[in-house]
Amino acid sequence: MRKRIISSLFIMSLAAGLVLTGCGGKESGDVDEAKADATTAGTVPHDEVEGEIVFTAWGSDAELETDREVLDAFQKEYPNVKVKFEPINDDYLTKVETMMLAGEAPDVIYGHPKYFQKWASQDLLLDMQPYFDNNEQFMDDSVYATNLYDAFKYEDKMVATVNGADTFLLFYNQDLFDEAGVPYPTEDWTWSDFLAACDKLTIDKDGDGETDQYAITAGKGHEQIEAYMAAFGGQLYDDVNDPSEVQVNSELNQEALQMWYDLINKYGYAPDAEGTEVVTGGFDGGQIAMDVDGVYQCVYRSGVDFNMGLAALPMEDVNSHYVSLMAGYCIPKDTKYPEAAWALASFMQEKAGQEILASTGLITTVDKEVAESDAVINMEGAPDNHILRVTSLDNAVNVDAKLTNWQETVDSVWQPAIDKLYNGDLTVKETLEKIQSGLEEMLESGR
Amino acid sequence: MSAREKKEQMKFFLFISPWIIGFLLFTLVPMIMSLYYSFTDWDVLTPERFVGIENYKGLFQDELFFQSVKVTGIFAAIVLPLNVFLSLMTAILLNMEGRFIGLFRTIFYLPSVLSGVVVAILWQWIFNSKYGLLNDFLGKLGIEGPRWLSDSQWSMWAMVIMSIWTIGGNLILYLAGLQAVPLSLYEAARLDGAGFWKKLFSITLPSMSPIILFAFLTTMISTLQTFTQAYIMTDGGPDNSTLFYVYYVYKNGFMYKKMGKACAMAWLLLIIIFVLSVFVLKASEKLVYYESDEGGKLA
Repeated sequence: MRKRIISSLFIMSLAAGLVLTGCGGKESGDVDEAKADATTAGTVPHDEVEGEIVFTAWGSDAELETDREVLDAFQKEYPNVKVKFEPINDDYLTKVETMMLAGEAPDVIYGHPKYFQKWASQDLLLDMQPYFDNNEQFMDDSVYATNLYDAFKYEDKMVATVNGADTFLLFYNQDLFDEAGVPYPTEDWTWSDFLAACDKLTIDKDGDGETDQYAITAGKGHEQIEAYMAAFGGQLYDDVNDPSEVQVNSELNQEALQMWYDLINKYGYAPDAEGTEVVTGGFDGGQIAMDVDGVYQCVYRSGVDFNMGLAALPMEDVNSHYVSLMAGYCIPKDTKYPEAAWALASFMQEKAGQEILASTGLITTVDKEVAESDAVINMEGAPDNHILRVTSLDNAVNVDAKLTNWQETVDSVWQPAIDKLYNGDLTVKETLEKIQSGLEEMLESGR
Repeated sequence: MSAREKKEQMKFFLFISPWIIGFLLFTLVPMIMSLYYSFTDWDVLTPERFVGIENYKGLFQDELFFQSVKVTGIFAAIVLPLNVFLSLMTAILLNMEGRFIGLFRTIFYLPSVLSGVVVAILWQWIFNSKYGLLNDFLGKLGIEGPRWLSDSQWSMWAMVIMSIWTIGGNLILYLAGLQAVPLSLYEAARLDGAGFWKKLFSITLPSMSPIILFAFLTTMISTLQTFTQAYIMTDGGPDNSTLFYVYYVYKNGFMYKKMGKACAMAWLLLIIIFVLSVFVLKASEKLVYYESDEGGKLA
């Protein structure tokens, strides 16, 4: 009898234990959910966020120094998150992906949308949409240039926080314009104004038949050529963020590519690619009057010893627009500390982080107020009309198509065709036809 | 086996173990794995999918694959004989007695000491059509130099010219070989009234033949594996005119993350090199003279 009582008691206590643990489990589940909500909403008190995370990025010394400054500010804000900064300056993608493969992915990774697109398609990234949905500020159009967000989405979900974007604009040497008596580019200048300016800015100083000062650079990179196409109003795809139709072979693009080609080969206003590549000091050294490049060049050009202005290529068509290179921060979904990783990735997009990131002029931040702030626009060595880097963003598309095989598309379709044009093996029309058919072939497998 | 022999064997394995472990871990295992991956579709970051011989089949529908075979084939066909011939001739010249001969030997060997990347960057400047040394020199002769690296008609020739600069590796082998040819043979030939050319073809070249074969084989393999020039100087361009095979392997593997295809290409190259090597060895049987105990039997 006594035995039976003991065993009954034992069973009862066991059952009670089970029920209780069950209840407890449910309770803690609620807590987890509530905590997750608080995390995505960013309402967890900052000193309660904990973890040891690794952050990786590439960059020049100045950029990495800026990153370190942001991290210092972050540490003050989140004292219990330990961030290890691992900059990678060489072979970035291979190294980051090797780390991912080894299960040692950094927790927050700086990169371009084309990287995120690929990793997201491999189901490697944390879905940040719930975080963005819960973050009123990030979704506020008046605070952020949310038109950039599309480039950072995979299947309509945000997979990265946004650092900012740099449009490809026209840098020009005001001193050389003054010397040649050429008026500075205006907002409404036309292609004929542009060519007239080029003509005066191309100078054979010593009369030996060789051009000593060129009007403009005409780089062979796809970004530069895309900048011309965009200015003429042409585009590569129906929607660069969700391409379903290739539209390279259009009349507008033909005009654009013809212009680029003629600048080098017909008019001789631009040095050939080899000349441009080697004399990278060409524009910076005051030998070339204009240069189409990303506005990140402001950082490197703050020390040039001439007055520099920022302008747009002529934008005559109703569809004229800009191309821009974007950057942001993703989080691998297997991170051990999603809360801490989100804290850092979102800090990069918050005002405190953006102010520091903008201070070098390297990136036009996604936070409009910061981007337009006096400290940024009038920073030391900034070009005249520096504000264009901000205003142009409203009308800019990503310079990289959102395709998983974009790099291969550029390497195997775009560049060889441009090389052929450059060598005189193809006409402009044939080049675009070749690119069109090549891009069509690559489109399906990259979507 | 005596205790002493056993001990000796132990020592042998002990001393050779670093190599064996290194070979197993860093060569054999990755090789076997790459063979397996060549039958899969693998983007490095997600699990691989077995696809049978699809990667190999796919290569034969890939225009750029054929382009890379063509580029590498032409390059090897020009550079291999050129390198073997020039380095041998230079070695014969440098084997002569004379003032400053040590200095000349050093000068010719020097480029081979530099790292491939440094050499590539250096030549990138030399070849620059506008500001480069080469076109400047040609200009002085009244010749307008081409756009060496950005004209697809000329880029391959630029690679060839550059490769001549590094004949020093084979040169040093030949020099060592030349100095090992018994002087007594030359003396006997001289007494018989043989001149320079007779001595060259009857004594020097036959005595050197194993070394020439070795240089030929190693140069063949290394030209088929050309990579640095394309990686540093041309990115395979312009218009894929310098898309060397191994560079295309690299692009597929590490830039496009098509590791399966890259592995398939690598194995195909291994097979090509193997077949060519066997062919060269067979074809050379009658031409190569090995000095041996049996008194000069043709190997």
